[in-house]
Amino acid sequence: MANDVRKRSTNKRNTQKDISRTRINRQAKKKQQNYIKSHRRKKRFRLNIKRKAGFYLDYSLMFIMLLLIGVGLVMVYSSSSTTKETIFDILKSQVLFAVVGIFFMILEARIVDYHIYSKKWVSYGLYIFSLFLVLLLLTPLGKNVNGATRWIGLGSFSFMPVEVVKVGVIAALSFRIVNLGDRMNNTFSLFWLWFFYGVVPAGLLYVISNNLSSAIIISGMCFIITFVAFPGYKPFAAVVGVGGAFATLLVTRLVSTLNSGDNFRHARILAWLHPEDYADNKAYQTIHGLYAIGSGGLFGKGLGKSMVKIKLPEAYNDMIFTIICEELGLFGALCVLLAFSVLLWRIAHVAKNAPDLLGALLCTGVFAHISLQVLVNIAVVTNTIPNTGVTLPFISKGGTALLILLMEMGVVFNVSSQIKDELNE
Amino acid sequence: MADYEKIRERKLKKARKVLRRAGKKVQVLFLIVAILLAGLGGRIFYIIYTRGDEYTQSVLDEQTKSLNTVLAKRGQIQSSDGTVLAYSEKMYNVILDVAQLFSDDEESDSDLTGDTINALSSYFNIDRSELIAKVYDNQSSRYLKLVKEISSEEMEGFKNLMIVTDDKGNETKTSVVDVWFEETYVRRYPYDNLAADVVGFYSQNNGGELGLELEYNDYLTGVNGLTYSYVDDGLEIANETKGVTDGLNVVTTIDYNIQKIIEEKIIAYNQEKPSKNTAIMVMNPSNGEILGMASYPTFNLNDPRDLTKSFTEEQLGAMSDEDKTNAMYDLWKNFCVSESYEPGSVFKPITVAAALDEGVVKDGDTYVCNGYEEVSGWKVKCHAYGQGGHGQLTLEQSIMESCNPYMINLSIKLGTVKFAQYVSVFGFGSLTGVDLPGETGGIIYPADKMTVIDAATNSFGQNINVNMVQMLSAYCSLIEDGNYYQPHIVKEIEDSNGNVVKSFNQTLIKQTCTADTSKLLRRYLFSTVNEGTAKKVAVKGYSVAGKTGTAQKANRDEQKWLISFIGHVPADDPQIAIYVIIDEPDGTTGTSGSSADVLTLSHDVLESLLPYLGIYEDLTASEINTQNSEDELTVEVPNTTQN
Repeated sequence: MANDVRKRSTNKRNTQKDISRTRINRQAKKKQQNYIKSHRRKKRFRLNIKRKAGFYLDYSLMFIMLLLIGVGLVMVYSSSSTTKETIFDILKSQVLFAVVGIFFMILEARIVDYHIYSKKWVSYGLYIFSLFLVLLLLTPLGKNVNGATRWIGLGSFSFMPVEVVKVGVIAALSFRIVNLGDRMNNTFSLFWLWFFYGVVPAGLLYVISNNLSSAIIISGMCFIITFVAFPGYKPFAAVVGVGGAFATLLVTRLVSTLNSGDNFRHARILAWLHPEDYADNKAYQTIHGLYAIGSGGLFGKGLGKSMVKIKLPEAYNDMIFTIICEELGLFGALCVLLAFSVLLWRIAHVAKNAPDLLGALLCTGVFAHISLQVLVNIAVVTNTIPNTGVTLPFISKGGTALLILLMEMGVVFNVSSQIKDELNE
Repeated sequence: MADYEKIRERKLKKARKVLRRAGKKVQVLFLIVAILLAGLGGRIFYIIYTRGDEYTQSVLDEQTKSLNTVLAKRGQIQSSDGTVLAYSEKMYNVILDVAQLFSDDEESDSDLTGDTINALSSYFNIDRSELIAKVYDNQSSRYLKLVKEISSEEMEGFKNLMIVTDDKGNETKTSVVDVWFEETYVRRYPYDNLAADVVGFYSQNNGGELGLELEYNDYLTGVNGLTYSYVDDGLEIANETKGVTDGLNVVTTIDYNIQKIIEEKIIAYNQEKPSKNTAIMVMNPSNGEILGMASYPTFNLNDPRDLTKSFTEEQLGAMSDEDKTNAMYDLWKNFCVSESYEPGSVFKPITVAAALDEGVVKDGDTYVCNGYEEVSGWKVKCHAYGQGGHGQLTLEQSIMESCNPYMINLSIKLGTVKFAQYVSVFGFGSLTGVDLPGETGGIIYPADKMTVIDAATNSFGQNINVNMVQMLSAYCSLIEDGNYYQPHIVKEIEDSNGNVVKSFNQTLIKQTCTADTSKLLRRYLFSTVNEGTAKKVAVKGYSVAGKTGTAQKANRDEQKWLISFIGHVPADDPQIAIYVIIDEPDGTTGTSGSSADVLTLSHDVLESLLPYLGIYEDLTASEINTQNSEDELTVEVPNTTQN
């Protein structure tokens, strides 16, 4: 009876003015409450099931991620074992960051609903905050290591703002795309997004911290997220085509005109093309990475038996994949590649089945972040592309990077837990 | 259905459409990434497949790393009586590890840098401010050589500053740190100039550079020991040491005393009358051992690049670098081996031996000397031209008086082919193979090119270029019953314990003439000293035999001479042979016109030498009055060279 009255009254009101969003929500909420009331016993039973199972977790994704982190810790230990500061320095900090990161990941996956990013001040705030951190590099807080300012130091603690920028770009871009709605179909808005979420942060990073690799990764992430959100392929195919042609032209011109590299970047390209000629300086890392890969053979020398790591300074950073190749051979390397493939497949799966566009885009962002870093890192160590310093996600040593990655994975797990099935509807 | 539900439904439918589209794109994306990952997997396989072996090799190469070398000691050069002519002494270079010093100083409470610098400057007498400047200029250096070549006592003394041992024998480091000593060997020549051309010198960069140091470099140089480290399978650093092998000692046939005597005499003569070159060789005719070999000018082996001894400062100032280099090479040149010249009359015994062997002349045959001989239109003079010739001479007298026409007559009788053959048989025109570097072969006319006038001038030693070793070896065979022994200057190679590794015994190479000829010539040569042109050489109580020579040097117009004496003692049973040359006596004018100087020099040498050698004074010797001796005079040779 009361239902009927309420229905009537709303109908009456609807005829009077437009239905506002809050009203619809309120109605839906009330409807749900009614539903709960009428099906309380059924609901309680279901809730019990949910509680027992914890919450929905993509186990295969979790497993493969932990596997990669485990391989990473073992390899970081192995490649740092010959340096002075072994287990107590490098591995300890890495384990610490992994534990803290997993804690934050669980927190994000279970407690913080990813829809928090649908709030303007959270997404934009994160993005602007990350850019602010990059600008902080210009202040005395920025630490200059090996001629490039990439770290912000606070007492004994230091971190790389680059990694925060990646999160900021993912969050802000996803939110903006969701907000744009239909306007996303416009190619013009695509360029706008590329400018604000690709060119600006990448340019900032390149200018301030001379970090070409991160600039490439961030613009690539922006490119991939918009690729997923935009209907159609044409602008992306055009960018890839023009970019590829331009790069090829540049390299061929460089090769034909330059014999000795006086410029830093020219030398880098030449070192890429003829690593043997620059084995003593520019291509030292590259050639030693190739030595490691080549000498590993099919099944490797065995865990901890790498010889190249003695010669390769900081083998646990960018070049860690070569140590995997040397110690575990082609087999181990392919296993790691396969693990990354499975991980990416699961993330793509979550993205595909995400409950809404925001979740899908957030997962795509994480997918872009991991896939780009893996591809660029392995392409660099195999000398497929010129040398640029990108770490291998989950495996390379690097606290900030691991922490941020795990927090991103937390978002993915959160999205995955909200995938709608019959029960959640 | 209510409207708001319819609207919501529509919105949801649209959202699902967008979501589906995005999902599709994510799938496309994953496909691309998967393909790229597979491509990279293929790339890894490609690297392992194509370059695997090469890179494995590179890694193995980098695994080993040589740490330090234990220097091998270079062998000694000794004279036959055991006097050391050259040896290597172990010395130490003082090295400061500056980079380490600064980093240690930072960690330490005490002033390590200051203490170390003070200790270094006071102990090695280095100017303190200079040292400080040097250290601060090379702050990142790990190898700063401060002092070169200190002795081991000095090193021990400084080490005591670095480590203090207390009563209980515990060693504690002092505040003098990061100094270490690098082993090095310094080559020493205890007798400076003695046998400089023969011994030669050694330099760190080029090894042996001259003389025996060069010729026997392979024996003298040892094998350096090597300690190297490599990374083993367990990633542990393992050390491996390869033992050091010291160089072998070279024992020469040079007799220290003989060498000393001849060098003293050369210096004494040249102080009085400087010549362009003066050279003396002493040889044992019965086995070809060279007992002494010296030439003037000479140089200091301990400082071979120092020209100040030979030139005045003004001269040096006027020289270009190239001039200086050439002057050094001239100085280093061993006249006895590397210089060829026209021997002059000392060649005459060879001509006589050839003629006797071929039977074109016999002992006692006579010939009339008119003071000159016409050959192929050339008028070849005798040195007795001024007195109207020697008149009638026997074969013996032709040697005694050094008669040119007699020799020309003999060469004509022999004919050019036979004569050229004998020149070759006596070893002229080819290297003797003496174990010294830089031997020159000389120039002779081959049998098919030789003309009558060539043979005529060759017969008294002109227009033929020989070196001293060739000449003396040929002479030795001539007096030693025709036995031509390999001339050599090294007797044995010994290891550092004195065990003989290799010995060079007498080697009979060939028979140059018959024993009868040899016997006749010994008599003729004895007569030459006893009664002939070489009277001044005679030493009381000894039977000295020999032949003088006065050769006009090439570029006949310049009128420069090379005077010489070749001889042996005792006359009938030769134990030593000696060859003395003065090239351009009286400085550069060389117009002394007589062989008197070389005879006096030879006499002086033999007078000192013979008692030392223990050669008995023989009965055949008689006292010779040298007061009125006729020396062989110089004679102008017509310029018959065809080129």
